[in-house]
Parts: sequence; structure tokens; C-alpha cells
Amino acid sequence: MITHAELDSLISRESFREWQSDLIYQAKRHKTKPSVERDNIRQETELRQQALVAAIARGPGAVRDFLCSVAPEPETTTLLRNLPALPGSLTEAEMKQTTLQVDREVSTALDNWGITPMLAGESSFWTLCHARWIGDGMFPDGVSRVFAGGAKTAGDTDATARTFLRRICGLPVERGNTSVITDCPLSASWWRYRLAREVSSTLLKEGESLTIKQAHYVLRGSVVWETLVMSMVRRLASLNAPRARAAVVLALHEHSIRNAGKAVPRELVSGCMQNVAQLGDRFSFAHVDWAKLTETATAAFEGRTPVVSEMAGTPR
Amino acid sequence: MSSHIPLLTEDGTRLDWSGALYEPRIDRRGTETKVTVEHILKGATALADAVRRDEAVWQTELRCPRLLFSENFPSNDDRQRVEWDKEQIDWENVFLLPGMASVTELTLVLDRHTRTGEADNETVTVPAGALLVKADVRRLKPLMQSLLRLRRDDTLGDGHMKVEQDTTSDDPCFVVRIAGDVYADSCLNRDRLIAALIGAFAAMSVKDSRMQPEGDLWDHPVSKELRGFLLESGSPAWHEDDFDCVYAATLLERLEKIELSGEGEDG
Repeated sequence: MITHAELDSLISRESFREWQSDLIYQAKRHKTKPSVERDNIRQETELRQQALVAAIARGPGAVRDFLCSVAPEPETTTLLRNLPALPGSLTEAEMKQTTLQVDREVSTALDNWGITPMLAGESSFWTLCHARWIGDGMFPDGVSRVFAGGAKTAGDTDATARTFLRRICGLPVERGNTSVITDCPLSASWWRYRLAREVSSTLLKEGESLTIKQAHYVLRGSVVWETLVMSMVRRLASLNAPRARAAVVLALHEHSIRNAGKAVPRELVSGCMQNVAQLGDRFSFAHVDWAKLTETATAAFEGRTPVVSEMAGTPR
Repeated sequence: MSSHIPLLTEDGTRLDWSGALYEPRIDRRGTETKVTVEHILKGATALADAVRRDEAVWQTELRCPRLLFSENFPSNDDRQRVEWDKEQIDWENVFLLPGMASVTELTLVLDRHTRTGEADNETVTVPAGALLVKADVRRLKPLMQSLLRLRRDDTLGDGHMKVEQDTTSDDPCFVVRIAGDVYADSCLNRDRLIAALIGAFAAMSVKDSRMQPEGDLWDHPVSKELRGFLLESGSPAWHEDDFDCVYAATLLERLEKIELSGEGEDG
């Protein structure tokens, strides 16, 4: 295994962002520059994108070498050998939406190797992992189809580059810190299975029963996963409390059961999360009654406002 | 008997406990992966009594949203230690939320006074888990370090520096582009960092800044902490007309006196 400090000494978060920025033309970032300079940057970016597209066309070895350019040689090549191996090859369909089995196997392999949240939160880590996995030939359907959009993005270098980067390591320079957890399928796989395990064990302590499989099923829906991660990282950070997110997942599970397994609409998912987060303004999630917490989470599905508003104090 | 939950806030924006004050003092030595949180409570003796009777606890939540992490540290002592594993959380994106919470249903008598000074002691029943004391959110990373991100820029002429808002960051942050010839020692040069901070305050005061009231970073904990700091120091905030970016920067990081050597002094 490696530590975060070792990864950081090879490629810092800043250098990684610079590397990724060089592959994406960010109009917002350059808007104050003179138009001649903007055109130059755009052309240079396009040349680098063309080099990436050419590497994808040449095959796994070329893609591995391209990704290794993120950090200096020969340290990168040495590090690559120390990164975790994937437990088995993955098809295009499996990578489109990973199953419980894939998430479990990938997570177990990464956990056994010694992955930590600090590493799993770094786009550079996933870039280097993918350099190894692609080089190892773990994606027999081809890099273009699995990571770069295949026929959908053919002929569009910018779309190909963006799709590829999003799926390899997330696109933090454009989409913020949530990107590494939501956009990169194998990173999402590890984070999702970790949360499913945590939710299941938290609920067990509260006398509830939700298996890892059931929790994973709730989190697997792209609407739930993206909304939950976005909320936890950005606007409703109190939902990171294990009891809070367990209550949200349980409420979503029960709502889905009551509605013949149908996906929960986005506004209800958001409403449930907002209700629970609002409770956290006045209650400690570590100590609040479990019944009150679950009642607050489910109130969103019944069109009710959270119980907490009935107990508001007297602001100045 | 009242049903509302009394709350004592650090910023004093509530009247539930008149005359009471709360402030957590956080001490971190160097880069240690632990802090000591001292909960300082003045007045509101009923709250301290509740902790003594095991009906409430002091607590500090350690939160790292970037890595989906949160852990609550309860304590019966008003001085508590909060420790973490450096591979589990990113200290640059860690928030501390100190306070007090009830752990069982309890009855509190509020020691309030009317405007004329008469006692207005109200009895309230508080459910388990209610926040009784709440501090402003704290960041482990010092404000100046949070706001500035130094980058080498070889396209700049010798000795030049530019400050611009980081449009891609989820946090209030300013990219300080520094010419290659002076980049290496810039992070150690306090005056250079203060110059960058002035640039950052200037950038956040422009109309389309993400830190303006209509911007997506207005409610960010760092923006709130910064506004709170400026208010406390008697300075307008960056969205106000009479805001002075130089004054604000030197409130946050004072200029240091330069000790002149004896050479050239009259003898």
C-alpha cells in the first residue's frame, strides 16, 4: 500500500488540477484574458486532447503511458506496480452501472490492499489506478467504449476528453469535489459499498434491519447517489453523521417498498434529506431519539414539514 | 411550562439565556492529529448542572464533508480531546462544531430577566438530543491559508503576482499566481502573503464574486467565519460600500514591525 503523503509527494492536488486543466478548456477561467491569449490556450488544449484521443485509439498500453504523464517518471512506474489489482475484468455494461457483486469485489480488493478515504478522495489516485488497470487489460470491451463515450463522442475530441477524464478520475476542475465520488464508476463503487456497510451496521444498532444488499440497492440509483453525495459534500453537510444518513437511506428504502420498488423522485429524495438536515440545526444526531429522526425523514413523503419546526425557540 | 428548546449560541443571537456566554477554545499544536477543545461557559448554571447530572454532555463534532466523514465526540468534562486518523480525514477541509446536547429528557429553569430586571424564570422540558449550546463552526485550517492557493506562473514577468478567484473550488479560495523567480520563498514571506490577501479581499468585493450575497459561496462556513471576524473587528464586510480591502487584510494578518539593524543609525 501507499500513504496519502507518498502520493502527494509524487503528485500534489495542485499539480493534478493543473494537469487536468491542461486537458480541458475552461472558458470561465480564461474569460478575463485577451482574446489572442484565449485562442492560444484553446488551441494548445485541443492539441493535448488530440494526443489523448490518439492514445485511446492506439490501445491500453498507450493510454497507460498517457495517464502516467500525470507525474514524473520513473517514480510513477514504480508506484503503478504497488497499486491494487482489480479482482477481475469488467465489461462495458458492468461499468455502466456496477452491480452489488462488482461493488463488493472491487471494495474488498481495495480494502485488502489498504485503501483509505484520503486516497479514495484523490483524483490522482484513481488516475494512477486506472493507468494500471487499463494497462493490465482489465476492460476487454475497449477503453473508448468503457471510458470515453464510444460512438457517442466519436469525432468530438473535447467531449471524448471530458468523458474519459470524468470516468477515469472525476473532473474536479469543472465539477468540484463531488466529481471523484460520483463520476468515476470504480471510485463510486468503493464509496457506495462503504456507505451501504456503514448504514446497515448503524441501523442494526438502532434495532432496525436493513441488509448491506438492501442499503446498496437504495444507494445504487443514480438520483439518490448523486443527490446524497452532493448534499453531504456541499449544502447539507450535517448528513454526514452516520445516524442521519442511515435514517435517510431507511426512509428511501421504505418508500420504495411501499411503491412497488419504483425509484423515488428527485424532489422527494431532496425533501427527505433537507428535513433531516434541518433537524440537525437543533438536535445532535448522535443523541436524538431514533424515532424522532426516522419520523423526520419520512415526513417528506407525506408532504409534512419536519417536527423540528414545531419546537423552534425564540430567535432574537 | 414552555415547549420550545432553549439554546445558548456563541454569537449571542438568542435570548434564551440572558447574560450567559459560551466560547470554545481550540488548541492544536503544530500538525498534530488532535485538538483540545475547552468549553467556556459563563452564566447559565443550569446547563453546567445538567452535564454534572449526566443529563447533558459537552460535544464536538468533527466533520470532513469532502470525505463524507463525521464523528461526534461527547465528554462530561468541559475540556475534551478530539483525535483523528490522518488517513481518514483531510485536515484542510475539516470543521469542528463544539457545543452541548441533552442525552435524556430533562427540565431546565431558564434564569432570564425582563427588561426591568425582574426574574422571569421559565421552566422548560427538553427532549433527548436537543442542542443546548452551539458554537460557530470552526475550521482547522487557518483562514489565511484557506483563502489563498499559491501557484507558480512562469508566464508572469519577474517579480509579478496576480490574484484571482478560483472559479472551480467548492470553497472560498483565491489563486495567487506568482512569477517563477519569486515563487519558491513566497509561502514563507509574510508580507507577500498579506499582499495576496489584499488582492483576495479586493476580488471578493467585486459584484460578480461567488462570495457576494447572490453568489454560491455566500453561506459557506469560511465566508460566514470571515464576515463574523470582520464584524467583530469593526470592519464592514466585502459586500458593503465602505469596505476597505487593505484594512480588512491587515485586520486578519497584521503587518509586522521591521527591526532595523544598527547600521546607519546615528551614533
